[in-house]
Amino acid sequence: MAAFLIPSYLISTTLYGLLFTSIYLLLATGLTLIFGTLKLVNFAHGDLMVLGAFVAFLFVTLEGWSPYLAMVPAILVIAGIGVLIYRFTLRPAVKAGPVNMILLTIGISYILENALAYYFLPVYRTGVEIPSPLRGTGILLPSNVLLTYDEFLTIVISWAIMGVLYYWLFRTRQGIAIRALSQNPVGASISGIDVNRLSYLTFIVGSALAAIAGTLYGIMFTFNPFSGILLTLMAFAVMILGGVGSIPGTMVGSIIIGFATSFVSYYMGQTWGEAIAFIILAVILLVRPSGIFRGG
Amino acid sequence: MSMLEVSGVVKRFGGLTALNGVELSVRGGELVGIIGPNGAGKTTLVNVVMGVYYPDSGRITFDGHDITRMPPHRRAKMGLSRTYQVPRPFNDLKVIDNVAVAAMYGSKDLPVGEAREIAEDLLRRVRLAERAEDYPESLSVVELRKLELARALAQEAKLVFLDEVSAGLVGEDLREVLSVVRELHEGGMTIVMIEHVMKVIFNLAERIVVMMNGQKLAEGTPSEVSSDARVVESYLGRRWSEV
Amino acid sequence: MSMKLDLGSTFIRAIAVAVVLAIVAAASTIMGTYPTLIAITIMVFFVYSLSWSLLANTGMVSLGQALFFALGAYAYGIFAISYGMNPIAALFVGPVMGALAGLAVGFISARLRDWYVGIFTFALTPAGYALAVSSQLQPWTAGAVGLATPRFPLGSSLWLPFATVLAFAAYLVIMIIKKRRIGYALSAINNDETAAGTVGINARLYKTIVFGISGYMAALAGAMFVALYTSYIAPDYFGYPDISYSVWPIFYSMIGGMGSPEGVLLGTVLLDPLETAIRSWLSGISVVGGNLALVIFGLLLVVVLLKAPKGIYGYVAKYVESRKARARRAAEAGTKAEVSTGQ
Repeated sequence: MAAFLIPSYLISTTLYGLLFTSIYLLLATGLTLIFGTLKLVNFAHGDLMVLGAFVAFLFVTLEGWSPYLAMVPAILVIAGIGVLIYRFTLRPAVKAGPVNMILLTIGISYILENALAYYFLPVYRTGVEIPSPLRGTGILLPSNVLLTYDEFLTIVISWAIMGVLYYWLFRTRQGIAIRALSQNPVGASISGIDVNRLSYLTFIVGSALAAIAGTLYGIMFTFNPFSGILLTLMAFAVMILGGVGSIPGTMVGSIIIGFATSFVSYYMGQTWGEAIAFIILAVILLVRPSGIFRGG
Repeated sequence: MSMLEVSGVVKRFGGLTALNGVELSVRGGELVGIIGPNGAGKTTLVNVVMGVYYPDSGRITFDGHDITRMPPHRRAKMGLSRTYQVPRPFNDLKVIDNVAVAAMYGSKDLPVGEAREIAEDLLRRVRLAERAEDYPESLSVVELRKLELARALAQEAKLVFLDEVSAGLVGEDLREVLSVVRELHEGGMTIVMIEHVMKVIFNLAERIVVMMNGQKLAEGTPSEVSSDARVVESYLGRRWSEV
Repeated sequence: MSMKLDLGSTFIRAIAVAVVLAIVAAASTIMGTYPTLIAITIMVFFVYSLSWSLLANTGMVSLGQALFFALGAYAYGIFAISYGMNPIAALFVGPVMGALAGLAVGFISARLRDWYVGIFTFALTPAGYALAVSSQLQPWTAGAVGLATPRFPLGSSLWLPFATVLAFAAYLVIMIIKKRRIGYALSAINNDETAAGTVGINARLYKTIVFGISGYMAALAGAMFVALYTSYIAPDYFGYPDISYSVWPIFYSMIGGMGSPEGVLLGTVLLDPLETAIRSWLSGISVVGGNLALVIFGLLLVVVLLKAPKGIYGYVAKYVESRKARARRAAEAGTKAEVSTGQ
């Protein structure tokens, strides 16, 4: 019988698909918000996520905090760094055009990665995970698959945050203003929306989402200072697949990329699991050069 | 036989129908004017003819060839050209090279030296020779319009669409550009002028097409069109007396 | 971004570049073995940075240029080792793989808008890395261990002169492209692709061709790097997981001034030795000193992008141009004064 039909394999790949989906969703939604509202392609987004994981890691290992509590300082620090980056580099460069903006975020990514490596490598050498007191415990699913409490919490927290975010974006004045800004910046500023304040807010929310994604990722997977690139690329794959700038599309993209990663990793190995996202990305770019939906 | 034939062209953008079954026929050597209010679909029509977008339905033929889904650069090689409402020069190329590059890649494939010689001649013809060695950034609006006309000439275009060539020009500048247009037409070039107001082309065009809501509303000589009751009512209205 | 800030005529510029390259080669040879090696890397990265700026000046920002660099390196090594090709021949034949990859990547990139080219090229580097370490290709690539290459069959005193000649040849290729018909088309495409189509330029075709040329040049740089400098090929030449190999040509081009090949030369000649010096100094202090050096270079890039978007060369050219303009105005004012006194 083919391996993929064995129930325990099916259940655990589905579980991992859900986990990847949850984390990609948080990461790519931040990227999409920033792109939609600020028209900014941020190649340092995955590095902000890894930095968030590392901040949480320090609070857990040095201060003895619970990893889920350590998410709070991670959010604050990354949102702060995000604002500084936006205020002092990206905002002044808006006039310089899209090409210089991309190169700027690449430069920032390079700075973040190597700065992190400078502090990280002498102490930790290789990759680390955020230690969790819940490790190894969980709910036993059918076919002897263990759903750990960490995995359960990751899925619950991600989707709860997405719920809050959706409420904010679709039901509150501020959120609706942000969506208006992403659809028509000129119209938004004419209709009395404070574009400047919302731009900062978007960057803060996007960075905070990256920090949350980073902490959850760090609890379950090993990370190192250079993990950010692959995560940035995954987030771009999700964003382009879902139609650039579309929040609901990002959800669809996360599900496709998340499950593809999980299933391909399980049956063909991790290298292919990572590569599948880019194969999907390349095919999309080949078939629909401007992404699934036009605009953006 | 007509040089350009646009039949039943429809172009939608999302829910908006910009062109709704447009018909246009241009004979060789003509100077046709297209007028209509903002949003009538004039610029979309130019873009569809030039291949910036492909139409959702309908057919476009040029010189007897179906060009409906031909890429823009091949249309240029066949002898179609245009100017832009907001001029689009190549800012890293000198004025003379802006014209020369059109000669290099237009109807004929010319080498650099020959193309620059042609460009020099053409700049003299449109009275822009003294700016040949400058960069387009330093040109005035009227000079940019002349640059685009020279570019169309350098391509040896058979048919040129002038998209609001008068926009932003008044007095002496407007007369200057219009006299260049007239000279080009007398030199044998087929011209379609897109204008917002009729005044500009009233004395220039042999035939005027009025567009409205993505369709052709009326067609005829300038005097026929200006006396057409439907045109006066639905487009020109009371403002006709002012323009 | 502009090509127009050129100082002097083509011929004088070519002579100046030849002189600078010759001085770099001669001075480092006199200074000893280590400076000679550094000079070789200058030549390599000049070729590599030219390959990146050629694309950038056609409106395509490659964030995965290391794909071609590494392909050239591996093709050189594999042709020389697994197929017993003469390394000198492999140095020129290997990069054909880079050209083919460039044409394929270019075919897709030519259809993408601005930043999609960046993400697309960026996304290819993990794939290259995955191939290099994959077990299927291990007999050729030696997997994660990397590939040691045989000694380059030229006397080692000839390595730097050889690299210098290749660097000047690459410069000449760029200059020839700029001065021929294709150069005008590339400028037009870079400025306004739609308007370029209007005057009859097939932008997709030219963008694909340019990617092929750029792929060959980047791959040649990769092959030179291995043949004349490292004698070793590692999977991280693909710019993954550390993006350095993709970022270096961007550093040198942007800081020097990507709008002209002389600016790229300036960036490479100034920054490559500086980077090496800072890196070896900081590495002496700490094992992660190299990372700190890269942080400094990242900051330098950010500052230049913000304060002098046309790089050092653009800054100088602008200064010279404004001086000339002032002199011209002064001369005109003088003539007028004479005329008025004459009357």
